[in-house]
Amino acid sequence: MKRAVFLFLLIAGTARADALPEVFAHPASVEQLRALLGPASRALAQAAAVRGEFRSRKFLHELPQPLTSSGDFLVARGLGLVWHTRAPFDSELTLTPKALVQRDAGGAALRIDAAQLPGLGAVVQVFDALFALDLQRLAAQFELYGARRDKGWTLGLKPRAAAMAQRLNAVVIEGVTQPQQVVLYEAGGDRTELEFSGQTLLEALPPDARAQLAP
Amino acid sequence: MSAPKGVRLRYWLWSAFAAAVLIAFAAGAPRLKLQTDILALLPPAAEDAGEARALARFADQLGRQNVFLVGAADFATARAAAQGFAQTLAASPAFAGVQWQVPSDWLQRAAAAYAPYRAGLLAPQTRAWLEAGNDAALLARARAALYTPAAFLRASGAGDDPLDLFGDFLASALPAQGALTLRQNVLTLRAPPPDGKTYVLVRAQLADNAFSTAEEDAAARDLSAAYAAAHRRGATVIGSGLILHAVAAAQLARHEVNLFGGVQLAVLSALLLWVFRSPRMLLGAAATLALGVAAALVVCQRVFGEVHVLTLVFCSNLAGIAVDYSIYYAADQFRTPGRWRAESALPHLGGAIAVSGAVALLSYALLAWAPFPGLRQMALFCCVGLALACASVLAWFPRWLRPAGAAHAETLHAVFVRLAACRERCAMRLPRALWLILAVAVALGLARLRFVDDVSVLQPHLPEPLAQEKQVRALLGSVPDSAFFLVRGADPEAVLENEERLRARLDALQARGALADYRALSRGLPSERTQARDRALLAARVYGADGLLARFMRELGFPPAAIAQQQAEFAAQTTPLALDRWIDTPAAEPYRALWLGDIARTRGPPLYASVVTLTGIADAAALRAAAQGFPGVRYVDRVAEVSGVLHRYRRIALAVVAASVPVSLLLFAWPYGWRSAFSLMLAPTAALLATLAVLGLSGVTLSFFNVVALHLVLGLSMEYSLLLRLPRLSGPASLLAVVLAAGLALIAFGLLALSRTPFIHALGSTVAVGVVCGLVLAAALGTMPTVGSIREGAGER
Repeated sequence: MKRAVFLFLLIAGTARADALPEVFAHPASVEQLRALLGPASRALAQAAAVRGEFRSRKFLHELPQPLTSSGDFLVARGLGLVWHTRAPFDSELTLTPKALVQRDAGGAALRIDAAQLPGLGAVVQVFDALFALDLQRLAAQFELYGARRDKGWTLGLKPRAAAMAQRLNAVVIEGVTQPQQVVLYEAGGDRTELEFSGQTLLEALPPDARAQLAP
Repeated sequence: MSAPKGVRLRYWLWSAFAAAVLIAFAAGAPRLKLQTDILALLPPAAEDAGEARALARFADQLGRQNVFLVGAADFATARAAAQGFAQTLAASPAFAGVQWQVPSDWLQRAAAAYAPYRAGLLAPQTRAWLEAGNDAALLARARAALYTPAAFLRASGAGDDPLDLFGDFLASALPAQGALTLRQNVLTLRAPPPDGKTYVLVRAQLADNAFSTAEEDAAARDLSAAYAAAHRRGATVIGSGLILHAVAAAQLARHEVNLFGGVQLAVLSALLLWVFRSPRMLLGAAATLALGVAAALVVCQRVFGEVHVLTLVFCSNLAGIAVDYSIYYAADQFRTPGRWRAESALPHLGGAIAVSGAVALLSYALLAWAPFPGLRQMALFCCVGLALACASVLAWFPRWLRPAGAAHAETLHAVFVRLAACRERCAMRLPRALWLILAVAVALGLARLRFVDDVSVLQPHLPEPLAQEKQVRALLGSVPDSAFFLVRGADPEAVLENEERLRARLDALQARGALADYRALSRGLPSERTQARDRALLAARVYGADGLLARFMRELGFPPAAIAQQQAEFAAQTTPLALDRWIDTPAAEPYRALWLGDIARTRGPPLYASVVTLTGIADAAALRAAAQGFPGVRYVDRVAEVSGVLHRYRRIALAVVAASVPVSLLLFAWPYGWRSAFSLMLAPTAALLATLAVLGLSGVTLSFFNVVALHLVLGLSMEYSLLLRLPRLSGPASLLAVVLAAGLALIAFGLLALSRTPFIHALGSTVAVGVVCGLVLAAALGTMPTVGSIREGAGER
């Protein structure tokens, strides 16, 4: 655990917003990346949903240590995602193109409609495309980069639209068959690192999730 | 020999006057201003002038806004087409501004404008949590905005605003985007199936008022060029905005004026030439009309400063009435074919033409009684036009006219002698039972009369822009309705406080579903009172030494210095954000049009006003009630008000028509005596009732404009009655004159009945029915049987 934290601090030290990882030296086309990812991406593309566990570290530039949280997630293609934080607090966040719904341990639900959250649609789309490794859709929003890494691969994304660049400098995705780590470099100098494990591909969406994500 | 001398003098004097009028017209013609806004025909909606000006300005502002959705099967095509569409419009002089890309740093600049005042700015939800002491909800929201993907939606920096108080305020101050989402710097939406297209939003503002712009060729030309540019890129465009309606309405009006005027002119010329066999007659009739119209335009321009295009459409039938005087005069030649000279008609017919002109003038003048700007203009236009046309006939024709060839005159005379005899025979033999049946039919028809006072009668039926408008509204779901609240106050602060009180009621109504949403200035700028209250609330609950912020920041691991810095920044911010500082910042952009400023201007003490626009009104009565007993707030529903105005004036117009009958009776009694006057008014009154009955039986719902048409029916049928029933005038020549005049009126108004503007259609169809009723009834009632008439009539034969 201590080693992991140390490793992260090391990465945090080298991967500043102004000094992006090495992968950004390798621009790539959709076809090149498809070859790089291999058969894994095809299986992902056919799944209706991905379910798994996450560990999140949020590095604020004002804070020496990251804000760490963990829990489980479910991303349903074209519908949205459920982000269930279990530690250090219990809260379930549902993001769909229509609304943000937050349910806390107390059971109280807070719903904010997309009409009041203009960026919601874009955020849901990006997460959807990230988890499914939908290169075609990612290419519409980002400039693509890619490189081979040990047994797996590293993808780099840079936003094309200025509106997204206001928020996000770059995204780095590392994986072997599936994405294992996603690092989001935010424009203000903050950084979010997401680690995934135990992913399972679902051929059909479970009924409870379907109800939760219903448009 | 004095008569020909007088005739000559009048001829030349009138010619000189006509020349003067034409010079005045030629001098004023380039400055002639055409108004095409339907609402300009209606009385102002507000009680006081300042408010009326403010509302007019807001309506003008709103009327300049246009929204277009450029749609294609995929986003990239739609985006490229939207760019082409926007660039074409931007190059047009008719458009002052076109936006298709959202400035990517708008939110940052808006946030920067608010940042120095954030100590007093709270989102309603956060305020409610703090007031209720619901720390748990506030902290849960703050945690979600820090730890989860929701962090990518926050509007403020995480370390700078750990509780997301400012971020939540910014989100609440942003106007709702409706179905739109931001993608690659453009606002876009995906239509639900079966459409399924992806649309990109383009906004455009006109450089000038929508209706005056529609008159220019540039707007229509550049709009169709922009549509074509989008089509070439494989996209479709749907639009919503007054300009689309105005352009279509202007095209329709131009088309109808040209069509109706052209057909009328052709038929009129052909008939007159055939009947009178004299180009001089046609030229004379044209000159009387031209003089009448030119003078009417000059006078209207002087009095009103502009001429409404609907006045022109309405008065295109003026020709149909004004030409009657020429016909009556010229038709006199068939009284004594072969022996007739132009000046001999003057003593015989001059009086009747003058009386009929006076009666028509009076009935138009009564129209001006209604305080209805549009009607006044139409009344003035027609009065001037008719008076001059009538006077021209009396002054010019005795010297100008030449009779047709004797053979042609004999033929026509013979035909109408037979027709006149036939008419007298029929009139004698009409059984009383027939009159009784007619009376029952009229009673039935009158009983079935239905009135509808709906503003839609004013709007031309333009399916194309209407369909686009409907589609855009359905897709966006956030286009403001035509009703809104007007909020006033002695200063900007009072306006904002009134708005906040109103919003408390609107929020309740919104929760109940009485309306979908609203847009109010005070959402983007809380009143200073609210800012002071929120600042006090934050000081007590959040920014204290052991307040919510300090506890949360310690929990996150912030060093004490960072906490102290946040608290110090809060303490230093003491000035509230005032309207004059806010209104010109990017933050105010979505709200700027709602601020009307000082509407009193220089008159009296200042009075400030704003507008609260409404979307998706489901319960108008509840909204109206929300403004009741609330000084400074008024619910303005132009559509309902216009319908109310139409209702009121329909009743006034009915009273005017009813009053016209006794007034005309008086006017007839003066030259012809009471008995004759009663007898003369019989047919016109019956024609009025019969017209109403026909409309009632055919199930037409009547509006104000049908009633105005009844007015014309009365005037025309009085002419027919005068010429057909007055024993001194009655004869084959008069019958010819009346049949010709009625035929031409039928053509003129029958053409108007084809108009796609409902109220012009109503006018046209009602008068067309009325002309037939007036002619048939005047003919069927026969010549008035007086001793004098028999002697005179016998002498003529």
